[in-house]
Amino acid sequence: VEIQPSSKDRSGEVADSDLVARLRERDPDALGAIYDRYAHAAYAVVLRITHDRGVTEDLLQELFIRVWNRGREFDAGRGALGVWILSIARNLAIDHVRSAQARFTQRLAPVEQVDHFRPASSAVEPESVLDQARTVRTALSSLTANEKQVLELAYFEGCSQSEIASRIGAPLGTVKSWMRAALSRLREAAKGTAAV
Amino acid sequence: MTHEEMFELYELYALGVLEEPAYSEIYKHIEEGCEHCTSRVHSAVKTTSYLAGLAEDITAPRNLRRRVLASVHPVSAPVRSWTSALGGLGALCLVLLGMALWSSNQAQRMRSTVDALTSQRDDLRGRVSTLNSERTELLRRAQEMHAMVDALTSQRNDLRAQMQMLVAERGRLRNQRGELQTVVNVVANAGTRTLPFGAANDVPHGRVFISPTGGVVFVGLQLPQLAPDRTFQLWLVPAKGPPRSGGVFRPNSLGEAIYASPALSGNLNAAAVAVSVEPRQGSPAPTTKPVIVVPLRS
Repeated sequence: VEIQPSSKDRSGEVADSDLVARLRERDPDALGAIYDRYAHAAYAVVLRITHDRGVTEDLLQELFIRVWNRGREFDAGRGALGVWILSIARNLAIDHVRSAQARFTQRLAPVEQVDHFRPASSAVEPESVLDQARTVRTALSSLTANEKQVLELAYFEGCSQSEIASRIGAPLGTVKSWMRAALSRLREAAKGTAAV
Repeated sequence: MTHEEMFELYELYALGVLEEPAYSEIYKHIEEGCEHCTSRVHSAVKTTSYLAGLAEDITAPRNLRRRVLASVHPVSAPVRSWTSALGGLGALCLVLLGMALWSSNQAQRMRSTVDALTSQRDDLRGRVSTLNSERTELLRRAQEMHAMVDALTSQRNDLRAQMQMLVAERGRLRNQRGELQTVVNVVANAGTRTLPFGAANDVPHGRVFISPTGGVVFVGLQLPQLAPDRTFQLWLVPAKGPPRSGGVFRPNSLGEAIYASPALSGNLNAAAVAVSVEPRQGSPAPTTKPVIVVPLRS
């Protein structure tokens, strides 16, 4: 994903927390700014999952309506808006593609369950999620083809490790090994960006 | 499962792809307020969100922004002052005016559309009427064709019956031809003996021809008329023993008959030829007194 936050974002003039505060006041311009900041990344993720531009546009509309309607509940001081938007975008897309499969719909709960507005540490800066995603992409380029494949099947298609093993015809133990290595690399990359 | 064992599972849980029973264990921890798991999962949600960077670089369509914002703006925009309210009211009036003009145009278009559809409907009705007329004409022709087929079928059946009769007639004529051929062979043979019988013209009379090969031809005139269930039967009477049948025959309406008996060598030993009246199908031995007896030996 080409991350292109606005110039105001790059200069830090408008933080996510400010936009969320205006969103709670029902300011449509705030939603426009949030759209400008995260729509392209969310659009790319949803399109990668659905492979359908029409569906992607519908889901993106649904996503930002959800942002608008739940703005009052958002605790800007404690949440990472970008994380939440990208996670919900992915969940909406996979849920759409696999809507007939109750298992996935049921297990997409984690983002909501842990309260996406409650950060593990300090509040995330406006552009940090997108910048980190870009940095992580570079870091993950060192993964082997198999490690990258299992990671993409889990993220973009919501496949469990058993489903991945069945899909690519590899032993479950081997898939778990690839997944373990890929996630370890992901954690390292995430820590590296956090340190920066 | 301990927290250490869960360490590598939080990202899978955050992605929604963790399988049982690990999924339920972590879920239960969080539901019960486990700070460690909640923190780890939140961190995992954030970490896995970075995977969005794996998607290809694609820019959202420009019109999608308008569409998204339009879906929330009209019902949510706050009115901040009387000035802006009046401006908004004016804008609303302009919008309503625009909508009225648009509606008028739409109504005009609808009327045009209705007119066009009405014209098409009338045209279709005309076509349906024409098709109905054509269908009626076709039905009438079909009925005529049926009648013609019935007549031709009847004619065909008649012709078949006539053909069967002609075939039977042909068979009968072939038999007659065979008999006549036999008669000619017998009569034309130089060694054939001719034995007349009956002296007067008003009584049965005629000739019997017997060839050297055993062929016998009976020629009779003034023969008596027979009942429908009766026939004449020719007999070859040997010097000793019972008479042997030489076949059956019927005279025509004038009492005339020419009959050729099959050529058998045994016929040469016969002492006489006799004719008796027998049942229609013939008899194995004479049942009546012979009406004609012609001695073959002097």
